[in-house]
Amino acid sequence: MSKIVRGRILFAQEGRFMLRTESGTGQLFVLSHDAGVEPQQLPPLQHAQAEVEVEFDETPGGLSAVARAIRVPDDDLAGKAEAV
Amino acid sequence: MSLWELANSDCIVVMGSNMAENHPVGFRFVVQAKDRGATIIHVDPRFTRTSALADIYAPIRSGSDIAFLNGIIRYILVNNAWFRDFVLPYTNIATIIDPRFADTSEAEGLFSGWDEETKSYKQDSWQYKGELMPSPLAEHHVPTDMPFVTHAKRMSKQPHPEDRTLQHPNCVYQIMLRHFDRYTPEMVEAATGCPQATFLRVCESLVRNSGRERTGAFCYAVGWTHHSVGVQIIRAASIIQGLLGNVGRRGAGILALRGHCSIQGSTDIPTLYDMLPTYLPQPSVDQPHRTLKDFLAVETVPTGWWHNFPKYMVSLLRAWYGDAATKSNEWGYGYLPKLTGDHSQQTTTLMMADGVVKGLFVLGQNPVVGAVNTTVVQRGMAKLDWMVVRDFAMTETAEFWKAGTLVRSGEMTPSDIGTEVFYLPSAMAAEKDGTLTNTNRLVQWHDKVCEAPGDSRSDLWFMYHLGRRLKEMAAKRNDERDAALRALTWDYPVRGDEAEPDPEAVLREINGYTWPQRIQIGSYQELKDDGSTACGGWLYSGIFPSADHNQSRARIPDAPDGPQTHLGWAFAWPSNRRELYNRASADPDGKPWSERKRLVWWDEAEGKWKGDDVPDFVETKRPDFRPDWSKSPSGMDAISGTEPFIMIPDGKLSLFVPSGLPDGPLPAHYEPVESPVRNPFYAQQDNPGLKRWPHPGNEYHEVGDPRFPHILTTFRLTELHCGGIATRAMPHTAELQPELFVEIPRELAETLDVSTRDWVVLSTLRGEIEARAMVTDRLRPFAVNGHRVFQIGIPWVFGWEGYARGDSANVLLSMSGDPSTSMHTTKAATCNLRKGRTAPAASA
Amino acid sequence: MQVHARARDYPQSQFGGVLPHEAELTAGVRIQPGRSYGFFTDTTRCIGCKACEVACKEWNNLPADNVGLTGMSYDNTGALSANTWRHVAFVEKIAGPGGGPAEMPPYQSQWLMMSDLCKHCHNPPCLEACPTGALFKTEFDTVVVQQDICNGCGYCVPACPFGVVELSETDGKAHKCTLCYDRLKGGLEPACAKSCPTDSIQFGEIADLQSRAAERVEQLHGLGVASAYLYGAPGSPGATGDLGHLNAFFLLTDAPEVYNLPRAPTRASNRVRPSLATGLATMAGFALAAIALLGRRA
Repeated sequence: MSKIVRGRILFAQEGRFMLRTESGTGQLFVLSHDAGVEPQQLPPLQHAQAEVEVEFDETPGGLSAVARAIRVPDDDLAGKAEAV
Repeated sequence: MSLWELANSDCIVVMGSNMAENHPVGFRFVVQAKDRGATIIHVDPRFTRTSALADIYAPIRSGSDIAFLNGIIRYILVNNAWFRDFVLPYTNIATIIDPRFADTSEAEGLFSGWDEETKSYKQDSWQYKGELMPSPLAEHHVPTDMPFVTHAKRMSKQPHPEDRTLQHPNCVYQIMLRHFDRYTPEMVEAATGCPQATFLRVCESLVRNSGRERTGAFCYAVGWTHHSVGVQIIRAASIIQGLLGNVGRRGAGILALRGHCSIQGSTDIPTLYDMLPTYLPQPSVDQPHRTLKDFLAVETVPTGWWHNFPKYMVSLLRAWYGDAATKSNEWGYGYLPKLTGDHSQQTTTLMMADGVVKGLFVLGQNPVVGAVNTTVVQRGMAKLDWMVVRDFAMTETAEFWKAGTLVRSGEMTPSDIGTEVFYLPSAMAAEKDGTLTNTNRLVQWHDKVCEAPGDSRSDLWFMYHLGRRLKEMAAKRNDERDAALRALTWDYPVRGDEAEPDPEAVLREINGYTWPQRIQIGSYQELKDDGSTACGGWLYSGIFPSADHNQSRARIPDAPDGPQTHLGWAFAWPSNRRELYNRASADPDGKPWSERKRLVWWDEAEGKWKGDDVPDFVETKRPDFRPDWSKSPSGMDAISGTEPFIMIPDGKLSLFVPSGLPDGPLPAHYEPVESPVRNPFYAQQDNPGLKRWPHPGNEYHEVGDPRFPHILTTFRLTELHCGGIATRAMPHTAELQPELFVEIPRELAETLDVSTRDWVVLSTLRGEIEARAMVTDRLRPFAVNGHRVFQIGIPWVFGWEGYARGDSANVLLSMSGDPSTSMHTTKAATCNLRKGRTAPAASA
Repeated sequence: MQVHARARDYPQSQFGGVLPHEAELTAGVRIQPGRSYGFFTDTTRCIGCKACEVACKEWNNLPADNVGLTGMSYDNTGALSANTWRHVAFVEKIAGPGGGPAEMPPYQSQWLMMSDLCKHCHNPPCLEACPTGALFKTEFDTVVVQQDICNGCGYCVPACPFGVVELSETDGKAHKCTLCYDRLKGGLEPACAKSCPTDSIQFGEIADLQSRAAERVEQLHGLGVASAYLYGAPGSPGATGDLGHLNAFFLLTDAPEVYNLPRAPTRASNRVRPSLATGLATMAGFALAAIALLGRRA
């Protein structure tokens, strides 16, 4: 069962990104191969500081997380539509 | 000395330290010294990442440092290899000691003056003949039968008794010959396990790299201080450096490698229970400290720089009590809390376990992992009414009540533990403004670069608002006991939504200003004892010399061909001096010992001391100045132009320390509180001043107890920082050392049929832990006194929180205290080792 | 302790942004496109602190691999992987009677420590094998996998003679050290070199690094370290099999195999012609045998 977290992308590197979650902490994600998001789509989200919702699974040992999907929540779509 | 100054050393001894692993950035200067041809020596029970970069590795069993160092002292003396031109004028080698003095060599390992009833020394027979020298340490008053103040005043009456021919049987030189005589290379090998040939190579390297043209340095850390003889180990190194002329000079000195979380700053503006900020003595009910007048009478040293003490004390009181400090109430002296005994961490822990201490603040510390005898620590915490833990990640200390040793063993359940634990998240270094004081007294300002998440707050915020609320409560209550709280100045401005106090306001106060105008002062020389100045920490004066000048922000390095003291980079106390006692870098006439090692010198034309560093001397004092004893000179008037050690009452480096060290004026080898072997040197087994605290759960075994035959030492790892949690909770560092392991010599592993990664159990009288074995040739058996002992090493930084986990090594260690500092022993203990795992916990 | 003259231009502790040409201050080199850059890793200065591993993971946001306690001395990383682009190897070789070292040669000995990484070969076999052109040579003469082009075919993996590049289980693409391509573009030296406290990892222009390295080998020989040699410099072990030279090259004091490096690595394409010839010859042989056998029966 995947988990969900909201936040804004602090930085993006290739297919990896650090999310600043709503509680203010940082969480590191790697894009899954079937995420439907390509690495080059991350920098625009970061530059726009769009609020995103990340669906993810934790890897065993909990040391990193695999992002299965990234969505821009409806309430934030206006003005950020071009991001995804 | 500064870290970067190590690059100018010709010989560096790293001992009681694993510098490459625990101060890797500072170690770059050791490698730079190597690039310039220096000899690097590592003396250690384990072959570590530091040893790998050394030219000479000298193995010693843990707990035998003094035997090794005293061996070096003897070598220097019997080979006449000491730097005579430096030692004769600048040290007390020629000073004559009281005729009643008896050395350990004469009395089975005790010095004269031992009082069996109080289990302490009276220091009368250690004094200079006919005088009493106050201690240069924070507490200047020492226990003597003779009246302290009247006898101390004799320091001002006449030159100190000495024999420059060094023939007098009770001059320091002759006493040292007798004292160090038994530390022969053979005895060094027998006591430490270090082969004589290697030991002698170390001696030769040190001696070869001393004198006018060459200097050497020692670097040490908790490998020396975490012993029952910690202070005396450092003393032994001071004697070596004093004899070789390696003090106050380029590339010379003893560098105490302090911790990274501004531990130097936290002892300066202190968290030391027995001192006031910047190493002033704290009043005590056991001393003649009832009034400020009494206090100043016994604690003001008649001669040397500490004679200025009243100015620093009164200015501190003015800073703390502001207008509530008046001449008639002795500047608020009565508001100061007084010591009633040893309030150090271990005794406080035992008082918690005995139900005396009811509440505890734990700020940025993780005692459940980092404090010895963690089981007793947790029993103590379980007895508290409340505990506040501030940290930036969940620590074992905060969770002791639900996942700690007591709960896991079934001794208690969480519902048995009545302690109310508050966990308050704290901001990290980059999330707040402020200074960090590094290991060479360099205070550097750092700006906040990002916001701390959520409710996290800085320690300054916490302390300020806690104090503010307590003051508000005190104002309403009108209780006599709250008078000190009501009197306390607490008017730091706050900024922003979170009402964060302005740290620059605090730093301005630490620097000091005039009262009541609050004009910043430029140096501690402007401080007065008449209430017209306020100063939070005299040693830091000059860090904020005018309203807008925060010197700790400055970042101007020297040019590539410059003096390499970088006086334009931040602020080093005192007065931005980089090398303490640097007058010693010049000969008695004020000329540098050599061009190669020049640092400061006397300029006859300008009539002052000048050089590449801020001179540590009265600027205009001529080298040929001699005190006029007919005038009973006090303070700096009693210090001649050839006495560089101005904080010592006689201006000389103390090879022999007459006052202030409870375990003796000279270092002697004593065994750790638990040892598998008898003391090879004396009948006296362990440090006579050792603080023992027998308590349920804190028992000690007898010498050579066959149940615990191996010698155990604990250590840190580069990859895991401080109390562990910061890096264990962080994936990138946790994965580098993911699990507890214990380093075992191959020979021991073979007898136990243990291979690397097998589970093993270590046990002591305090408890048991399990770890994975790491069989290695880097640890070895030692031949001690003809007896084979195995040296084992285990990292102590693991706990159950975070990604990198393991048992806490401090389950194994006992509580005991060094007589001067009450410091615990973590570096030399005993244990047993067997293959297997610890029994599963009883069901809770 | 050589402070760059430019350091005096920044007398305050607070800056508005990245310093221009910061690599000049920190590495003594001004980074310019069109020139050839890399690393000289002098293992005799390495203290095994793993700052390079952590700096790399921090800068590149790489997840932890967490392979666990390996028992291989202090090396719990194990090997380079899709998520680990710097790996410090530890080899204990304590010598001396009774298990303790007596005379120790200067700089590092008894416990070898070596920070491994992608070699950024002059003639990179991974690039030759890549069918999509994801792997390319940058304007700094370094080798980078373009993540938006890589299709995860994995041909680069067996082509690398050093076992560097690996496919990620998560995103399916090939990953390896980029020699901090993004930092180079910004005038910053790579994160690992910047964080190395003892200057074991030295970043610079290849020609400079190679001459500096040759001097260092001579210096070490003079100090009694006869076993010091370069790995990956032109004509040395490691720079074999038409790889040319390695932009990330090393100073070692024991055989390459001790550090888990191949003594004579080659380009995979060197083996294509002989393999093809062998293969064709084998097929021809089978064909003849088949004709002989089947012909007889018929």
